Amino acid sequence: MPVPPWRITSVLRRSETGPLVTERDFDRRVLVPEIKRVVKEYDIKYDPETPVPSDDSLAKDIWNAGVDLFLSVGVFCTSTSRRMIFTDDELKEALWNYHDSIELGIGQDRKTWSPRSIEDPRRPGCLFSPVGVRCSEKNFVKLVMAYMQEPLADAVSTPILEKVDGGYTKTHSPFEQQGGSVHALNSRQAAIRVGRPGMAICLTGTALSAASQIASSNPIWGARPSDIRLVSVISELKIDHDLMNKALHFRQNGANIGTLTSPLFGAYAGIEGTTVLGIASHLQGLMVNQGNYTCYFPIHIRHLNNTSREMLWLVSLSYQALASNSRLISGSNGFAVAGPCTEMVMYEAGLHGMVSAVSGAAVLWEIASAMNKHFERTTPMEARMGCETGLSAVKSRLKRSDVNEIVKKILPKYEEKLGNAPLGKTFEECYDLETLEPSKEYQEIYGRVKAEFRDLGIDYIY
Amino acid sequence: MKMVPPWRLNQLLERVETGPICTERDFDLRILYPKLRSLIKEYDLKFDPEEIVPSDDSLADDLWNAAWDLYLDVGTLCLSNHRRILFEESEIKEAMRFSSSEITVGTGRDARRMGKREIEDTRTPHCILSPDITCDEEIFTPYTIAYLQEPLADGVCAPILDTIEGIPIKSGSPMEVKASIAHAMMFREAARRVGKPGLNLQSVGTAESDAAQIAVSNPEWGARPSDTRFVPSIAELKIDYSLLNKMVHFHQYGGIPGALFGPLYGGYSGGAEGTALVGIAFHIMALMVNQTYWSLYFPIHFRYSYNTSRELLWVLSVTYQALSRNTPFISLSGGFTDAGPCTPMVLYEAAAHGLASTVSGANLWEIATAENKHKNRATPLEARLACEVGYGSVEERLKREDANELVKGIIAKYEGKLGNAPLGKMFQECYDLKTITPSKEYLDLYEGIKKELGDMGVPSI
Amino acid sequence: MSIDELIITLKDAIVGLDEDLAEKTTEEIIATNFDINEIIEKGITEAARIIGEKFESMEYFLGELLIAEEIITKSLNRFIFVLPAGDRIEKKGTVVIATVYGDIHDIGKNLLSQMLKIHGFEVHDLGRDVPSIQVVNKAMETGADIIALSSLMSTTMPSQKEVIEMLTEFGNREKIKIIIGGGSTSPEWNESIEADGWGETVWDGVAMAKAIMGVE
Repeated sequence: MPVPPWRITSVLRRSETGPLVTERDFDRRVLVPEIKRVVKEYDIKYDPETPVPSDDSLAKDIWNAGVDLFLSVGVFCTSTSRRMIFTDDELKEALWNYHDSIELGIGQDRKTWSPRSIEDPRRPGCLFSPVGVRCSEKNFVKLVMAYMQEPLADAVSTPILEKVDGGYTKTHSPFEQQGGSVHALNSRQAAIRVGRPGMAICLTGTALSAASQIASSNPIWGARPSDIRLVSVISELKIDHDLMNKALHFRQNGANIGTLTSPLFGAYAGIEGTTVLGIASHLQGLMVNQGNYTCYFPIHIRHLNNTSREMLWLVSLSYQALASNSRLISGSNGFAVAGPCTEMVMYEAGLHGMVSAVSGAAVLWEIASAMNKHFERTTPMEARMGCETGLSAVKSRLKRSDVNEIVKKILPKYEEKLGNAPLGKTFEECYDLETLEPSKEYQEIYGRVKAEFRDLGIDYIY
Repeated sequence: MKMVPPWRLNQLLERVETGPICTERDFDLRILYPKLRSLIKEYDLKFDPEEIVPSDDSLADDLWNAAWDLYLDVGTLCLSNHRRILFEESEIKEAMRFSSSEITVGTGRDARRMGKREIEDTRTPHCILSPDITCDEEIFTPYTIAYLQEPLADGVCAPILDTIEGIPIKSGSPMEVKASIAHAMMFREAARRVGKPGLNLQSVGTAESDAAQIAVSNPEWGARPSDTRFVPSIAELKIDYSLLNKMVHFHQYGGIPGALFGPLYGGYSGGAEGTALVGIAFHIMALMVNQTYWSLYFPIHFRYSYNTSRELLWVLSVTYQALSRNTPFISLSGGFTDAGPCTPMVLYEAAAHGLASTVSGANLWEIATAENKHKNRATPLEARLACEVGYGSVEERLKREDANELVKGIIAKYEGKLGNAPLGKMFQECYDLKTITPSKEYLDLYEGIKKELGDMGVPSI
Repeated sequence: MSIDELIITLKDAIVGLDEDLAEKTTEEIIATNFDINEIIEKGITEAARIIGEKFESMEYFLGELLIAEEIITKSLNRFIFVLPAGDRIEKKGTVVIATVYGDIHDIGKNLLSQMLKIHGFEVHDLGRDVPSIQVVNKAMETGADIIALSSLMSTTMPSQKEVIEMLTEFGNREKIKIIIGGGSTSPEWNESIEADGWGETVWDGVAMAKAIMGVE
């Protein structure tokens, strides 16, 4: 039988019986020293001149370091203050039995996501995501429809309702649960309106707590087993019971679980350590979160992005390590600093998409803009740029070295502005809410940047 | 036709977020307590130990009016954000005007009517049978079947799991979710095994947290929209987000939520009079805040967790009389005995509870034993007797004054032992787990006591 | 070594995360006729500044901050133990810090917490997923000058607002400043809930706390 789930009762038992350790000691005496040890032992070094390395042995070392780190550190359960520790054999058993592919959505809208290899000629899956951005109830359906109508989108994520019926969707409050239900209802409505009723939708972002998340599950009007349901890793290598409750519910209701993980560059480790943490987090996703796939968005602690030189290096090597050493299905989730309707965000999206696709990401999960925190500052145009560029890089049979050259040419156009990027515009300013067409201004920016990428060797189909 | 609940759900939720901020201590000591005292004085409410089941309609109406004033003034405290939820008189009147006094629980041929009852009503009470207690994992199924097979059961509440696959269940942990789902599935399966697949299964006691409770909702294998579910309150007149979350879910999923509350005699409510007032106010809160169709009401002694003493039988009798005369509320009277199974005392207590409740206008939820704190310690036999006496009192058309005399006679048999009652035996000591039949010892005892009660004039079926 | 040299050695030991050297130097300073405020100003505050810079330039991370804070606390406790009656350490201010109710993401909060401790603030760190009433109670109980609230997930931001409402209701809003931060927050949010300051980085948080207390 395919994994996950991998021995659920045994995993739950570990969160109750594993070795006790204070969180401070876990951080200070286990996690941090172990990250330092593996980075040194496997001699992992970042080279700013090669943001997209072609060095297979480096990818191998990162994989091995990630496995070593995961086995030596385990996962800390913050609810019980216990470490959940796994053996090499257990990890191998789970990796060996890991399923070949996953299916999302139902009926005509069903899609399959499979693992990919480095420089794989097969196209990656595409998920269009305004994830995490706060949105008004008034614009929610329109914004989601704008994403859903994108032909490249295998699936979509949905924004977060800031308020529902006038009340803030405050976590744990009944308004959160109400928000979760409205979120699910509205998303289903949007899918029907664009004619993709069976499309997999990432649900339910407004429902952060397990109770609200579970309450939004309903085969008729809510989140279905064929949708995308996520269980986070707490950075770094941590989990709690609320998250495990969600995981158990999703498993028992037959949904695929996506592990949501974002190692933070600058918190516990430098860029090399954070890359290794990224691999270890994927392993946590398999063993503890019981995830069928991962949504991976490593970010810079200050700029909250992954489109800078060192972050692209991290993204590329994470996927090279995963693709050449495992069959784990992972979606590369872009986080851009600049906001919609700016050239900068188009460059960021394009680079993130092509680096991920050529390095072996199974899915392009594009793309949070404006640091994912400004009200309604997201549009499908950024996601389209990320996915089109990634897919076209694959179709153009670009090698890692080719992408490395493109990245090095484009990066200087925005590298200096990372700490001071333009916020761009809101969805309402970029899109006509009636026709759901992007503004002329944005289409021009999009066309201009695409032309630049084309000149550098990306052979777009259209 | 059912119209309320829910009563203006969004308006309620908004009120939860915007009501006046108040600490819990201030709510207890500066708002609830003084108001209760002044109302007891103003309405001259007095417990009379000789009138356990009073026949005084004006007492019932005074209690209702005082409780109305109490709730309007005090409202409910939400412990998650320390805000008071307050209502206008016109709002409560609106909700009551449209609230349903009759609902259907369960589905198919196992569907049953659950309705509001009048004082000395000639309709039989709706009976839910429940052990109300934790049980060993391995006996869950026979334990549940023992209750489900009782012919009088209009619905059943299963015992509570406190381990699953050997691991203790902590509320909020994934073990709770896992155990709750196991509970729901085994419960459903047991109902099918006894041939009552559509019976109302009160769901799911093992799930205390909102997440676990919501996770058991599943029309195929779990709690169905036709099952009753709980939105508990917190003593006294309090609620929190987790409970409100359950409520919102039940309304959106389609369950039949009921409120659950047990004012504490000897706690902030004070004596019998205050406990009755808080009990009635809780029923108003159930409609307005818990947004429930029905209530399970079990005023209990704050130290010994029983309600079969003189004072507490008075509390529940006057509460039900006040509700019957003044509201459309459907409410079930939950029994809590001091003695454990397979003792004469538990059977006397069960009979007194069933009798006092039914004649006063209640439906029945029977019965927690041994102060509701000893694992495996409750059986269907006590519950059966309580319900049989309830049925008997209806068939015999007993009046309150008849019931009063009979209850006083029964109480005399155990009153002296309250607080120091025999623990009795566990379910597996009272029942054969294979045949799921009661032991000869307990069956003989049950028949003996029933006969003794009959000789006293206590009717049963 | 002169006292000035000893203070520099202590500073370097803290910055270099050398626990043994810091301990040894502390004892050597205690053997002299030392002025505690001079040690704090020239030794510890200076060390904190450099550690801040190293954190800013991504040379140091959370692990290093945890170690530095332990060294500083240990050293200060030794000084306090031998301090003559009458002398006292000037604390910069009292901060109650928490990741708000519903939110389990606490790395940013931990960083600020450590950094504030390193900079001489008395910090009451309530952890993650902390109910608003607990934050307010702790602030009133400790006579806090500042409440610092972190929130990463959008749906937990309203809890920052709730703390302010509770504080206002209990009549303490004027006495306590509230600073906010975390991934989902922004200057606009700060303005809309009438908080006293928003910080994007840990460094901003320290600067705001210092500015509120009027200290360097």
